[in-house]
Amino acid sequence: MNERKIDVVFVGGGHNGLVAATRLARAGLHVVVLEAAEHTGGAAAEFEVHPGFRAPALAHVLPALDRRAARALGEHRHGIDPGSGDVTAMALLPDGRSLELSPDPTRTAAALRAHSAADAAAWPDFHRRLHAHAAALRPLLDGTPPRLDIGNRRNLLALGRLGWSIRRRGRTQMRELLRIITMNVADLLEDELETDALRGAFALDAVLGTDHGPRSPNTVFTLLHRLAGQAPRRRAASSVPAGGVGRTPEALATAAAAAGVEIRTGAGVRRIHADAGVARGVELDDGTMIEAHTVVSNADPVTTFSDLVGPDHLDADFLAEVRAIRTRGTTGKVTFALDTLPGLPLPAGGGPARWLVAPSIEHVETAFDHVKYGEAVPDPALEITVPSLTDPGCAPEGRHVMSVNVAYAPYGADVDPAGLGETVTAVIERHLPGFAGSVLACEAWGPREIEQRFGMRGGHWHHGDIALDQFFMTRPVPGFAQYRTPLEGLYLCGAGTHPGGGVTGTNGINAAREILRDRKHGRQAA
Amino acid sequence: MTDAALQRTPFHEVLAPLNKVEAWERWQGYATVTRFYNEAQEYAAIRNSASLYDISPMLKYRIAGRDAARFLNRLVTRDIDRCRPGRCFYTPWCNGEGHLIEDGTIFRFADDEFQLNCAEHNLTWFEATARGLDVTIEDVSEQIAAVSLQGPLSREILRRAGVDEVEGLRYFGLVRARMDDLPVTVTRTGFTGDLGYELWVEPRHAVDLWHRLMQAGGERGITPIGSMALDIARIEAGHIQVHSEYQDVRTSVDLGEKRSPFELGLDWAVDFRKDHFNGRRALKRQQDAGGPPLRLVGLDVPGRRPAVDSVVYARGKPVGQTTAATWSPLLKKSIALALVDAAHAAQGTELQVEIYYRRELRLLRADQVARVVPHRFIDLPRRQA
Repeated sequence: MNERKIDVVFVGGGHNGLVAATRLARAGLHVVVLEAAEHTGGAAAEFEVHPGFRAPALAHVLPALDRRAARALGEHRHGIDPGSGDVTAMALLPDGRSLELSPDPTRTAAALRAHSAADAAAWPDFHRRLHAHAAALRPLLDGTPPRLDIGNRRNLLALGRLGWSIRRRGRTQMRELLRIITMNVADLLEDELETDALRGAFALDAVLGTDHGPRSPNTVFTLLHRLAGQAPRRRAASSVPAGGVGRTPEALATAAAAAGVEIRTGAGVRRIHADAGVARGVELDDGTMIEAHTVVSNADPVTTFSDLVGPDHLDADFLAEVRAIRTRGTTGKVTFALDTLPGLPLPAGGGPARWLVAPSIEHVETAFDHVKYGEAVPDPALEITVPSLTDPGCAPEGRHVMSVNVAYAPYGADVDPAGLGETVTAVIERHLPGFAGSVLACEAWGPREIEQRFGMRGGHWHHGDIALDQFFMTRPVPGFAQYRTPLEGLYLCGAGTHPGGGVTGTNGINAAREILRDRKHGRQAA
Repeated sequence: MTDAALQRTPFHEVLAPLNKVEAWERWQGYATVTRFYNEAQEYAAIRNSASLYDISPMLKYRIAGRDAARFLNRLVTRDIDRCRPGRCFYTPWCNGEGHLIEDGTIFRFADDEFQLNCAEHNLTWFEATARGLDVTIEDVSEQIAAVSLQGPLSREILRRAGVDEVEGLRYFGLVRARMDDLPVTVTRTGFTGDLGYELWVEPRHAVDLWHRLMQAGGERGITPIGSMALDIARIEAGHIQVHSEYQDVRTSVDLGEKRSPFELGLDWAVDFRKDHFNGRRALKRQQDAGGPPLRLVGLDVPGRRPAVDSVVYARGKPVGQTTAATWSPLLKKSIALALVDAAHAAQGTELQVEIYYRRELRLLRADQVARVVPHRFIDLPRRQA
């Protein structure tokens, strides 16, 4: 080829890949992003559910973008600025009522008075403690995890910062955090609260997108992980960006292109080419070889190592560890094109909302029991958003799209996604009578469909389950949490790395930083 | 009496009556002979006539299939492509951290047919390494019986037993031969540093093989030997042994007990010219960092007491320990294998060894100044001739 030599080639153009590519291109590197699909953005992108109806593919509620990622995007960050504020959760109850869970604890306490005076009184303090714990874990979520090499000053600093972040909040809180972090969220909620609807909503938030039920161990941790991830400093909760969720991947692609990143869509990668421990480039599905100095995989770690690199180039024990990463997806996604807006209760204080169908811990746990054994779930818990409320352009005038995350849906060859759509329709119809009649189109994906569509192993949102043993210094596997891999010149930047999934761009910006560091100081395998 | 809990090797019925002192030991679940009567006499046969040692408890793996060589190249640190069909090959293998799992021999019968011999179970590690390859790995330990015929007369005895193929069989060569009507695989390998062969047969032919060899030995005789005699010979030859110079990394708990091939004098057996193999990345890094902390050395120890389990000092500071030690009847001196800090591993370095011994029941200590020498204490021309 007569082109300029490629410095960095990306396998996959998801949000993390685009953030990292933009950062590297702005550092003056020649960057090419190879995306198998027809557009970039991956799970953060939009798709057409019905002619004229666009909906977010998977991510329908976004945490705020990592500040460093936003900085890397330059002036294009404005397209992604989560301007429209914090999202209120509306818990739909079986009796037709609803409970408003506002980011503002006093509003929630007021709403709770109708259900339980004790919970109304307890809520502000519980909310404060929970967010204080999440804030203590914040330093874990920002940077590159340290290695267990205390001879290295940078590692020692990172470990010290984490320790200090937990300790400086006082002995009582530290003890409390260490006590609850491995607990299951059901025990915690039952200890502290009595309203079923409140417990159910938090139980769902703790487990949604993971392969855990509310009574699974370390689901307090997954809840804190979610809260911490959604609340970067001085931000309270997850949000829906101005102009809708779909604007984010568009803005990311624009920023990447403006930085000089060359994006090639419809270019699936078949193999990462390695030679004697050094990554040399990639081979496309059509057999084209693309040589590059550095290869960055936005794909999940299991796919990257097991399929793209292959066992010829990896130590057997490393590959065994990678293959042991738990990637069983248990979350379904159902998207509706609607003729009319269903009669959803709206937050009294206005602002964007998501609606939860999780009336109790038992409801969520029973749903998990089914999926645990690979069965279809007859009465799943739901997280519902209506993207057309914030982004009227995504549906024809007066009509709407609805996006539903389903806890849970089994991964299985014999599972019919249409059945999932029918089940979810029935559950919503029960809460919003007349809903089924307004459905113009319904697109339902179980984990298998998500896997096929986005190439995520097991259809898992996070490219690997979120749990204490698959987190921080052990994500994706112990000893390889610094975005480097056993192959010199191959890096990971996807959700399978620290700090996990969620459209924050943190993984991407951390990976880009390590790549630039290596270019400066000399490159090595992990 | 042999422990009833131990299995009997295919040679047991001929070994048991010969074991005058009933000295048995456990080897991979089998009863094997520690010594028949006198280890010094048994050792003398290794160096002066011919010795026979039952090696049936070794683990033997049959590795075959289109990708067999590719599998072995993923597994071991040497390049299997340098081992042609009809040849044998000594090699270590490591985990991903570049620490030694084990060492052993590989026989290459054909392009895609191998036998790997070692001391510990390795099947799960082999299978993990074979992922995605068209190769079958079978533990054939119980389908093959083996004896090691070692000593200057071994070639002559085999020829007299009717194995004419030994005439042209080079060091580390192998041949599928017949001892008259008895099919036997002969490899010119061994653990003694002497001229010698290992003979591999079906278990049902084991006793027959033994008798035929004894008959061919004639009046010069073959002396059956136990592990004690073999250990003297292998220390003289400087052969490392699992559980003595190193521990299988998969079973070591202490981080400091993981050994690298570079620490065990196996630098020559790590081939960075080939593509990836288990541990390549870590070994390269070890090498780039100037090598791991310890080195295997030979110690020439004054006096006649073997420096068994001795701490080695340099100017009063402990810098290592002996892993195996013996009086060498061939060299007429006390020798020891030792792992010492790399800084004190240069030839000729003088190190202090503490030797504990008993006079009647009293524990005494002798402090000797030992000299670092190559860990291969002997190099007999007949071994390779």
